[in-house]
Amino acid sequence: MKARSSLIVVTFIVLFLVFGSFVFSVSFRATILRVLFPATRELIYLRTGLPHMLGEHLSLVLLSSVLASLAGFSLGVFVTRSCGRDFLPLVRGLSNFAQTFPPVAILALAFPVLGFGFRPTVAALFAFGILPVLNNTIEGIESVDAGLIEAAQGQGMTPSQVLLQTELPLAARVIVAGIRTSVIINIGTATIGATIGAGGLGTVIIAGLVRNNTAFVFTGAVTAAGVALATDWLFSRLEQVFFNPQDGGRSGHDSTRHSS
Amino acid sequence: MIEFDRVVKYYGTHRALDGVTFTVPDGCVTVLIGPSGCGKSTSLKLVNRLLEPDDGYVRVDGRPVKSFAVEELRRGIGYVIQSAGLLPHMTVQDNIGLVPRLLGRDKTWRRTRALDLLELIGLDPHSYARKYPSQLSGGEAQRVGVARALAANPPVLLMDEPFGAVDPLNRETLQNEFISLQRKLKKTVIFVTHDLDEAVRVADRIVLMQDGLVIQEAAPEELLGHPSNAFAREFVGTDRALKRLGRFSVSDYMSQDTSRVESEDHTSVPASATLREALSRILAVPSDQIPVRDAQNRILGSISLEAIRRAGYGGAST
Ligand SMILES: Nc1ncnc2c1ncn2[C@@H]1O[C@H](COP(=O)(O)OP(=O)(O)OP(=O)(O)O)[C@@H](O)[C@H]1O
Ligand SMILES: [Mg+2]
Repeated sequence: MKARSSLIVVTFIVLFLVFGSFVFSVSFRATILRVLFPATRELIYLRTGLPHMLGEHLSLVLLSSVLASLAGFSLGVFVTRSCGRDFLPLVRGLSNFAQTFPPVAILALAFPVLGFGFRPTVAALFAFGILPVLNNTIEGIESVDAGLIEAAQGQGMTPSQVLLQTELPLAARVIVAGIRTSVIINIGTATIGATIGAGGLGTVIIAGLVRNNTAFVFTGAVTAAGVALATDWLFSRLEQVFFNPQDGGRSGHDSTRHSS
Repeated sequence: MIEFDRVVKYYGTHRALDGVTFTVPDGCVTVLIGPSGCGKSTSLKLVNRLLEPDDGYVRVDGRPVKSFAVEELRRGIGYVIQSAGLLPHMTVQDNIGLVPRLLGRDKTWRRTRALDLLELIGLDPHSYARKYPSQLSGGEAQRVGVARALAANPPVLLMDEPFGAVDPLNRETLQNEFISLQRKLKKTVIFVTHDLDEAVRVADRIVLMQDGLVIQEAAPEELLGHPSNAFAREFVGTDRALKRLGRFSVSDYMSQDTSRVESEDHTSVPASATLREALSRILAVPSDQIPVRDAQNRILGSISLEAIRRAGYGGAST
């Protein structure tokens, strides 16, 4: 058990170092690409540095995901309150419908309104990122046993105490899973922002597609995939820390308890 | 005192309560009993305002429950439900301390209170305080549910089939624990069950319901002895005379005369047992009386078939 987990840690460290060197060291990247694509002459995209594109990419994702998570969560909480419950079927229907939209379509719709560049891309990613968070917030809260909520009310909790101390802690795991999905999808989708000049890792991918340069496409794709994997891993660590298995993994706070 | 005064409750067009009137006296256990769907849980939820009546009044100490701030009302009424309703993300200790926390009690007070209550309900405080509900057996969870209801020391307890999800053997233990707890605490309790044996065991008064109506409101002996109509008669069953004997204690009907006790007979009955048990034991021996013993196995006297018959007569005759 111990040997296995330390093996995993070593693997992670190695992967992390390789990925870091690939992004930040041009010569290391060139060496790897030369091995993989011996026939390609132009291995390194020179117009923009990879770290710079990565930075743009991360800020696109970070901004849109934070906004989308806040919006999806708030809307999900609102439609599960007694005052907002009338809107629940409408919101559910709309979000199911919207999920069938491809992100490119949203981008295509956003840019005539908001123009080219960073802002319309963030807007499109935001719109697309809301849905998983919204759906999971609704499902997470709706799946809390009605009898349990009644018991909490019966003890004298106010509606906001029921929300904060019963519904949200019990739904937290599902809600966080929604945020995780949203962020991971956004990391991939953000690459198409480059088509309307938002920058990011899509820049090198599109350049590669235009010039028929697989090394470029590979560079962008591998970096985006690395970011997605790292983010996913980060979320899984977060879940392990915050949702300890003792209470069926439903505790959303106070992770300092001993785990046996 | 809790009063139901011509209470009507609809679910949509379904009339769940059809003018329910009964009284719950202070300091004793009033059992609501009746077939499934007759409106027991609905009645209970009207007391702590999880539901509001469509007509009529529910009063606590003469005051309509409507006139209380709803959270305040609930914090002053202990509520125990069948599945215990413990919050799965909180420890046993935090669950018990929930209402005191809502009332603004500090952490030390809550912890001390939780440990005291665990002691009271017969769970080792130090091994249970930090467990989570998922780590408890059904019976333990129900005990903790009772402890939580008692934590803020409310005068009133509402219990909706509190032992319904527990296996029969444990249920009897829990019932006995509840009875002795109630003897100490003297809460005003409304206890919902559909198990007549449980009702007979724990009740000071029984309110028998059917289809949203109160059929009979009486002491258990009275209900078993004189069921008021055909439904009540059928509900209490053909063995109601036997059930009624379960209400009487051997110590009240025994004779102190130890001379008539046959010492070679090994069958005896504890003084704390019910006449029902005594009868069962007498029927298993050739003689028509058996010795009564105390907890230390000393013979106190005897109980006879004749005495049991006299006690049961009121119930058996109708
Ligand atoms: N939320 C609800 N919506 C619609 N009808 C309900 C609702 N709750 C209860 N009812 C109906 O009202 C009637 C009384 O229900 P209640 O829960 O009070 O019964 P009960 O006596 O507690 O039964 P049980 O012994 O099965 O718990 C039943 O016919 C039930 O179907
Ligand atoms: Mg019920």
